[in-house]
Amino acid sequence: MLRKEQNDFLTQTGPATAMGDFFRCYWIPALLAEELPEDNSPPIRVKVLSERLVAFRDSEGRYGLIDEFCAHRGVSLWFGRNEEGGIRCPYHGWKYDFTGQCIEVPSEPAESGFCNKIKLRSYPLIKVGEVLWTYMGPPQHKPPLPEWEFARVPAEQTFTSKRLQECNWLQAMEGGIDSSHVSWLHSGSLNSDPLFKGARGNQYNMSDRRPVFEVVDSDGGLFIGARRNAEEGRYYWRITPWVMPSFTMVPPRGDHPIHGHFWIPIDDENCWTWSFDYHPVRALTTEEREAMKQGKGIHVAYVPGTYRPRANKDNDYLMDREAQRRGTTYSGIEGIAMQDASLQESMGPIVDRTKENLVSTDNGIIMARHRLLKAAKALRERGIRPPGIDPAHQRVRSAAIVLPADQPYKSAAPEALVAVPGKAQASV
Amino acid sequence: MMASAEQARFRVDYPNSRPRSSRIIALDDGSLSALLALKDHLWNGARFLRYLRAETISRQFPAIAVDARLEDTDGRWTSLRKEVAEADVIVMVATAGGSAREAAEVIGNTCAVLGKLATGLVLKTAEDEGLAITLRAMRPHAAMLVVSTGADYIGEMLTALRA
Repeated sequence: MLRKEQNDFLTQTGPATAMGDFFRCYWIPALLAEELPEDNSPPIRVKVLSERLVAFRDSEGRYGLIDEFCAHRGVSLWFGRNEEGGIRCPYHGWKYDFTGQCIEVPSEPAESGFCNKIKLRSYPLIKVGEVLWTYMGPPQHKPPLPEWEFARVPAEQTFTSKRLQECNWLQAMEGGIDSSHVSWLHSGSLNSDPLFKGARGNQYNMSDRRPVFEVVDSDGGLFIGARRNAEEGRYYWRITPWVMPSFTMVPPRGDHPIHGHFWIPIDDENCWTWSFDYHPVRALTTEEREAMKQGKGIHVAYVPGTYRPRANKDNDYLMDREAQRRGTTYSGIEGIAMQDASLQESMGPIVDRTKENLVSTDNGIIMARHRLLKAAKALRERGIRPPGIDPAHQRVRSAAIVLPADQPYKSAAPEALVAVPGKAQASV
Repeated sequence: MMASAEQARFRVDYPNSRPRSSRIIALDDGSLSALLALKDHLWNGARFLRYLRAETISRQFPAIAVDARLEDTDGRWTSLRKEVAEADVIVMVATAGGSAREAAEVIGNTCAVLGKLATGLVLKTAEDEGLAITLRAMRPHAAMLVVSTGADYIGEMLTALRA
């Protein structure tokens, strides 16, 4: 459980909140590059960390992420005209460049310099991999560019999607480090999902349904190891890294691509769940990429024209009681992503953690909250930059390995947990 | 469906659990001082104990421990078997490199016999010195093993577990 003030502290990420300042220390995913596919693309509304912004790509290919509303009369610039070198408000023609600087106020003489006095709040927006990343913190503390491996491998080796999740970011992220739910909620998917099935490790999963957990601090966050019995005197370990602020990777299965998530607050009651799949040393196959586009693995099928899942709270996530009875899906919800999201959203927009009853297998969650509280307080009270900014913290991998019983996974397999370009993932 | 703030307000408001009975057992001197620093905080009946020694079946079979002697923070002796039998939550705390092997084994076996799960918490310094040895000693006997660089995590974990 958390006290109410702790729960409020961790779940509020708007401007001037402690966790808001914390998130504003990092480059965070803001849009898929496909949302601004070419110069002069239509502008896109973006809400992130409780700030309403508009993103555009100008005629010179520069990305802008600026206050959504025109400084003149407050019109949404989503209606704006993406013109030569900037976005123009259709109401009275005020025009802004990619930094938010007003560059034209047609009603004022150009020589008056009036437009120089108008500037909208803006944030840098850069493309790394298939993602447009923003940094919303103080310019003097802008961190090095993102180094996450999924965003750094060649385009043919990676696939990223995002989906709207209608709950607070923290309860969504806690699902990603709660390894003990996998044996239950996702038990129907190991042998059927094309992005999971066929791995030797699945046999260890199925034959030992009571994993034992080890949670270990790392420089960037945590490693959460789930241990199952393997052959005599050996353990099968599935190791999940969590890196601040909200990055996790699922341990791999066989030669399937590795996958993972980012959870980024839209506001305090909604977040974007970013989901990626990549393979460190080979291109994704046509079949794999097609499965991801169709919503298999950790991805979802969408309501057409949106990033909202087709199965959502308005249609009870397309609950299938017959499949639940048969056991083809444990909860009756199709697909790993929506199995998670449906339950996390069912907790309410911000779950009341004063009412929860955690048990010892929840120590990954307890430790993550502890690390977040400490880091956000250290930032607020002493200005200490939090873990996860250092590119070395971002060069992590999940792993699925078999080790002798007497070896701790973190020291026995350190190379398995580090992303090394051109080196395959450690997986069985 | 709860998935709106408006609907979430209708969650029934009542205490949905009864107090747990928790035993936090220091396995070595380093972990004992960490527990002593916590004992005066406000807990829901958590008992802080120290492992003293195994009680064997007889002098003829010194290797077969059937119980252990524990000591509470007031210096009173108590029985491991009795404490585990009464507990819902059992946490073993050790420092990396400390002498945890015997204690972890005896506590783990007692928990197994009585159908309880033990959590292991290992406090480590910045270096990993001795950590592997302590983990090896505790791993077979803990359903959840946590390695933390901060002693403040003990209190945080116990609060989260309603200890």
